[in-house]
Amino acid sequence: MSASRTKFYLDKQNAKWLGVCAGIADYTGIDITWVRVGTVIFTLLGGFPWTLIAYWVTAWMADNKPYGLYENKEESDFWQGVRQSPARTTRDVRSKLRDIDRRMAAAETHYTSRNSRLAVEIDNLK
Amino acid sequence: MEDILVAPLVVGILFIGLPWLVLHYLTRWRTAATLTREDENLLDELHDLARRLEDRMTSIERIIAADDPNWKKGA
Repeated sequence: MSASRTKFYLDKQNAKWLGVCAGIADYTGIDITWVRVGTVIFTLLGGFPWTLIAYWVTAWMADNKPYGLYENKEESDFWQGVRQSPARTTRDVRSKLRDIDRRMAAAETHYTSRNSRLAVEIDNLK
Repeated sequence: MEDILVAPLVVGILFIGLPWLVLHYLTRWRTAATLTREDENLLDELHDLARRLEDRMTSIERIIAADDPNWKKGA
């Protein structure tokens, strides 16, 4: 049983401190710099003790991201899309399958119509 | 006189209204946004299947193109 790919994880590999901001960036797909800058600005603008408390509580409660959760970049992007909007990802997969169906039909018609063309060519040789 | 009215109101809002509100949205959020484990596995499988089928389709198209270079025009 593999680990869940729709959970929030601390991203220790890209962490500056405890990996919460890196985890948020990894979870949502927002650029990590913006997450960090946003956190710092929000803290300076009056969220002072609360952002720190939230940071610690998150770091304490969330699990570390399992090593090798995704095989490659494509898979990691796919699951990021799932976390953002499962409905949109499902539609994407469906449209991909439909595209394959369409191409398959094109190949099929090519081979069925080619037989008739072959028959015409044989007739011409007679 | 006013205190007698205000106190139950504040207590009511604080201890019944607010938890109600929070729990209400919490349950709605839990039912609406979560993807179950089965959904996740199914989606993973479909995604993998689509990727493999696409690879196969691409190689089949390449074979057909080698067989008959202008087949795309006829289709």
